[in-house]
Amino acid sequence: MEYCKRCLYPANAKPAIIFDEEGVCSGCRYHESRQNIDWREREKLLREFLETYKKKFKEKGNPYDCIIPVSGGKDSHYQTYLMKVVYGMNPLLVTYNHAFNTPLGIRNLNNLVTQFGCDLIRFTANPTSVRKISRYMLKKVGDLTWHYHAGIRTFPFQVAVKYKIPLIVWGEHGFAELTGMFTLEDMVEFTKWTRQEHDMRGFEPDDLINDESGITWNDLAPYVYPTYEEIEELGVRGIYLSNFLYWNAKEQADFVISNYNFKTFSGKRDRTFSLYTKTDDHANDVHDYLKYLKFGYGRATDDASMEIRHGRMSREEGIEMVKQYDHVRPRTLDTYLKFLEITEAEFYDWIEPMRDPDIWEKNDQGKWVVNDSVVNHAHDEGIDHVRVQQVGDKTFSEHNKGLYYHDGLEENRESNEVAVRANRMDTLDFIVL
Amino acid sequence: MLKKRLIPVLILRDGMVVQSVRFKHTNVIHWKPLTAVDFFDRWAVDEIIVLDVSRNKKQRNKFYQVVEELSQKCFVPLTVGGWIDSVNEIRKLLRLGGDKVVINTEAVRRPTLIAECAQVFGSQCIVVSIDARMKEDGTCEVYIDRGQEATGLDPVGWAREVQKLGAGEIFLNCIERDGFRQGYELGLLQQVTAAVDIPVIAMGGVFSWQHLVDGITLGGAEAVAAANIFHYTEHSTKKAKDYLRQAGIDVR
Repeated sequence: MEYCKRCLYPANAKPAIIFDEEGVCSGCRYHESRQNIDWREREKLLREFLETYKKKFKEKGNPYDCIIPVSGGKDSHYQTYLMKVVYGMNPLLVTYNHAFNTPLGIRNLNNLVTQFGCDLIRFTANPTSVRKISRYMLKKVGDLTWHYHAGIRTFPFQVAVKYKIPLIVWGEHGFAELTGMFTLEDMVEFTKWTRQEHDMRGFEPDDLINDESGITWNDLAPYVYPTYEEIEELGVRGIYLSNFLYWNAKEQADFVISNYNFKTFSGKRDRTFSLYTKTDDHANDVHDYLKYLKFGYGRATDDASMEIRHGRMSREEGIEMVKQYDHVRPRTLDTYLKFLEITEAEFYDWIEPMRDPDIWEKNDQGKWVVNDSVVNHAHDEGIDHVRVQQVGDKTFSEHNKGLYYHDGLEENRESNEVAVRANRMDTLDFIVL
Repeated sequence: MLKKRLIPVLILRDGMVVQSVRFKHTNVIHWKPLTAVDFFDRWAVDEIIVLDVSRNKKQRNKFYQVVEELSQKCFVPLTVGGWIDSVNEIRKLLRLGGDKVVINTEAVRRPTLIAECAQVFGSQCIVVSIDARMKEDGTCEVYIDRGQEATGLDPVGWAREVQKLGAGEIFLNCIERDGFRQGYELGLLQQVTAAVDIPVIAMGGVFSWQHLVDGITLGGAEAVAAANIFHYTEHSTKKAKDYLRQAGIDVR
């Protein structure tokens, strides 16, 4: 397998990356290109753009001038801070409730609404439908959180059409940030095709209806995108703030912790050292473990690559994180097997055909093993040539201990709540609305 | 007079849609080209061009697979190209569902291929692609093999030549303009459209809908193509078409 010479991504990273002549991946190049952007000019563009919406909506007498899709996480807090406090907008917050909430996530969502004084519409998908969809899509494409991504990318548009609010404000462009799917010059906006191809893995709701799945139209209401005519007539647009502002998730997390009482995890997590990302759902560990079972890498690769690009961690330190976390079977897997009413053997059987043959092979004992890892590429030629200069703010310094878990820094911390919840097997308790 | 056409181009590398900037691939946009075509198809385009720009032929099968899948979904003419070097290769692509083919490198190396293909499949099926590079003295030169090999040919003279050999259309790109967001190389476009009678498809550098208009009104192109820009915003090709119409251009 080829690995990026700067960060830790493998050639088979998803959605898709490519390497340039120096062996550096498109995600790293995207990150680097932010230095060449005139951010003052971009910020001015955003300010002017928002002003026009604000004015138009005041004239119309519509109380809300934009929609922010929120989960309650660090980005939700920061986006709401920007829109409400910095730009004086009156956003309507919209949440698709996927049912796999952590108590910390619920606490933070409460905090968000309270701190910023914004109205929230929250759509709760019923757990019976969620189970059907989750089970079917796990078997079909190895994704037990398909309904999240479909809901998060669809429900805000339903609200936009219903409440006649044509502006949807997203935070960072996640795929651009990870794999460099677009360039910053292109000022990408939300498109239905990114939703369909990447978030929903090529499936629209009607593709899920069949005898095998037992899914009917009644299960799919939150995932049905408005019609072309509805979108066109209202002129719905979805913009990404990361095209206008230098996006630095870590500093933004720090900011909302200090100023707006956002809370992070405490204690060691199963699949990453980051304590401030993906705080709202407990399915992410299993979701991410599936990525490892399919493509041979996981969240530690994602999170450490981000640290490396920012210069807070060396590539070698990142590789240590991959060694520690990427292969770990999360404790919440038991909980999900129970919820989905399947055995662990079935779970692995379903995933078997999805294992990428470029990285996984079956050994003589019939056991699946990875045939490579970034760990084997710590000393590849050309690495020194493309290194990121280290900054003073190191990932594992004392003042970052609330943001990143490190054994050396975090002795005797209480174990985190995800792990505690994993031991509770009552599915009613497992679903938090 | 024929209506002017709007053509999105998919740049494929190993079966995935990539963004091309001056013939370098900066990022992957679609891992599944079918999605792109599916949306373009519904957004009022007149034709779709799919080019295999892979660095080698190792994963050529992925390209065949894409062409086959696309042709089943695509309700407008599908033009395919990249790594075409023989009549047999064209036959294969047409069988997979392509309606027209684009030839570049091999046309320069073996110009008789154009005549041969035109005879077998008809001129309307053969598009010759010309990649021009601006030299420091302001003149242009034709490059082949994905912009890597200089040929010493002058694009205008070469365009006349391919017309004589039986090409049905010319797909004209300028390497410096490709993906560079500055609009088409209008000077070159004017010279080529003035020199030939067959339709010229303009490509390379579109970053605003006005660039498309310029390609037709100033450059004299029969069809305007672009790749990267159509992936960025919702209903892109439809908006581009509306813009062309408002500018007084006769479009479908």
